[in-house]
Amino acid sequence: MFRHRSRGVFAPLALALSLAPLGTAPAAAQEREVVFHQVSVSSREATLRLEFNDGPELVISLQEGELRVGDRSVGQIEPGGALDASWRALLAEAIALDNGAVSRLLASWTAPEGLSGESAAAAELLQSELASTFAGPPPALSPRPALEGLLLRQDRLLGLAAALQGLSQEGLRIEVGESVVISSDEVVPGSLVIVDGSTQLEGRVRGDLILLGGSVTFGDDARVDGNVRWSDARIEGNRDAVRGEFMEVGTSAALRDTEANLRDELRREIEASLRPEIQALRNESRSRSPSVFRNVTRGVSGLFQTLLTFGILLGTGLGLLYFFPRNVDVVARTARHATGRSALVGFATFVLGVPVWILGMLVLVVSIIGIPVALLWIPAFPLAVVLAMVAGYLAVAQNLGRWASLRQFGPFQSADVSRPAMRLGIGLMVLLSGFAAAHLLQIFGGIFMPFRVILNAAAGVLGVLTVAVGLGAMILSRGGRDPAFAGPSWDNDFDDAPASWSQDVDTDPLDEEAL
Amino acid sequence: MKGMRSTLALALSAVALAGTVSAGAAQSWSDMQIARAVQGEESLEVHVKYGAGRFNLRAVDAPHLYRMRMRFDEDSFEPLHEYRRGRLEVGVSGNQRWNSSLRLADSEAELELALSRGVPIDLRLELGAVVTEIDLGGLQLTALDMALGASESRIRVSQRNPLILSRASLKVGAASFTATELGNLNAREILVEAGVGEVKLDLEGLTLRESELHAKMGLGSLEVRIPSNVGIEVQRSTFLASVNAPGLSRRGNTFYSENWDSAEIRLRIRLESVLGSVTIIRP
Repeated sequence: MFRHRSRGVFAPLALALSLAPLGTAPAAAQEREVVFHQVSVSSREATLRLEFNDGPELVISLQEGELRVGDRSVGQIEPGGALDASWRALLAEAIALDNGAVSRLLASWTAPEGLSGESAAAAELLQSELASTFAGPPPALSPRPALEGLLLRQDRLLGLAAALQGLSQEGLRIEVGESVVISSDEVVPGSLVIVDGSTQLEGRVRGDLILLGGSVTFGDDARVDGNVRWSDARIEGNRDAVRGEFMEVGTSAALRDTEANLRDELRREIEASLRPEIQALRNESRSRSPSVFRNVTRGVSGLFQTLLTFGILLGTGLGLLYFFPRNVDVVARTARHATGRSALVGFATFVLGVPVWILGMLVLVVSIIGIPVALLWIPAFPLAVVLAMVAGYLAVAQNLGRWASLRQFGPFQSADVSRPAMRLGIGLMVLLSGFAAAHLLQIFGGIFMPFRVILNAAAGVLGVLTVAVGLGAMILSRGGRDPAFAGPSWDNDFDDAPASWSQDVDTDPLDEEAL
Repeated sequence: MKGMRSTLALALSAVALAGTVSAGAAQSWSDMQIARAVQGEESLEVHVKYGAGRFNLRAVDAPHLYRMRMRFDEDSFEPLHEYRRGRLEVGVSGNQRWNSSLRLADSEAELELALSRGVPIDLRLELGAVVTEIDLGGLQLTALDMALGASESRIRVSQRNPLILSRASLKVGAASFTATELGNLNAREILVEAGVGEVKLDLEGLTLRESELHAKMGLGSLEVRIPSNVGIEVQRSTFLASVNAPGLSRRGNTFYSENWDSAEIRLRIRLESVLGSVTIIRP
């Protein structure tokens, strides 16, 4: 579809290009209308961007000493020098003006005197660029500039291509960029194409009249046997002179849109044609990497991640035990003695934490004088909750470690749980063992997928419960400072211990050296 | 109150951030002026996203489609300006997320926007901690959606909108918000959602035979001023808010002004307030 449409657009374009030199003539100077201007001035840049009603935009920018016109660099300017200051002053003045006033201001700009070297060259180029932009194209002595102008203006070429579709070449006459008078006794045998020129039509055109830009004035005796196809043109005078119809072939904007659509369509077609190849490459890449290796890689990687998590938590826990042994002990005992209550408080904190945080912000902000506190509250509250969750989790891990050892679970039965660090390590192993086992099973392939899901889910639930109980215990014990809900010390905890173990329990669990 | 929650969040974060000033940090101010002429546009869709500073909006005469002047700290913000096929997006966006937020308050940042009187406009504003001065008079509004954060905002509709708006939505966070001559919006429904603060609405200029004001207020005071020739019907849903509306008589669960049955212009008011006061004034 795209190829067909491309041909449809570009075939008349080729025709237009091949025929354009036939009647090119000097272009008349005309003032260009600025439809958009953007001026940006800062310590780093001084940029001017202009869009015109009849052509491409002009961007002149001075950025960190480099003067650019459009995409090309035209020279270096000394920052703070005369040219830099003059250009900035010009834009500073332009910043408050309307489009029309901006054009007049820019057209009248002259480079400062006394410049030398690269600055002088850049200034000359800048002044010439502005002068040529606002004075229109210079009067041409040969037909080449008018043709070049046409060739450089993509929108005109597209418009010409659209207008020439289906047009007979017999007796065709093309005029580019000139004023044309068809006198009353003159007959154009075929169609007449006028690009960017003004036409006074008093005579007869046997074919169609094509207008791109510029204007036509029909005299009283004028006659056009065919249609008038026009784009971006002004039509005046006796419209009854036209036997056919007036047909607009699209504005510059519409043609630019057409061009953009064509580009999009081309992009989509390229993507569509490449997609099967990309897919094939992907499939090939996949087939090169058997799933057995993927499973092993992922399983081992997961095991390392679990090990790393264990290390980080153990390090954090040891730090807490070293610096806050009594607080950790009180939190752990609170969690053990008031497990249900701690869990309830923990889950309530999960639910109410965010609303409390927002409400706190609201109250502090509304009170106005509380705004500084709000600034502290916004990061401090969530941070405190996270820290409490971590500390509570580690404290409960200790309990789990002790419990696992007392139950004489496999490798833990001979562990010396009189040492809080040992209890913590065993507890973390219990908590993370589910995840580790799931990763281990992954190494042996997808057949164990259901077991992995169950293990991960069980470990996840256990982790959430531990966090909830730990957080609740942290809150109930005021961070381990209030033993109101705490049970007896570890040394009184003989009920859980087997007879053989109870004799070996340490006598002072709060002893910091036990760590 | 979903919209109010998001507005509140915007307001709170803006207020909080506004207080966190990186004192003494050097700023590099950039000035930008943009003007575009009308080129056959049949409508204009405008979206303004502006976080902090001063914001002014007004109408501008032909040949301008829009005109804009912006001052911003180029170390922390990127100007936002995109125009394509009748769609305009302007404002600023932070280029260093955290630092940008920290440097809002000591801002001399400013955005002045003027929109064409001659083109129908769909206007959407999202403003954060902004001091706002808006005159919508002279604009041909086809849609209006404003979300204001922690701001001091004054909105005026000095001239009547020649088009009829089906709905105008004004969402305000923690702010002092004053809107005058709102009747000139020519809106069938005006929705005002306010989080925290003081809101004053003046509905001078109402000409539609039937229109509706739906005001939702979270925490603070709401004052609604209505011309005496307008007949009003009030339905309220309040929690811990007092409603002061002298001169209204009750029929069932609804309150009516004395001229409700005879008035050529009628306004139905639905009030929702959680905590604070609501006052209806009819001079």
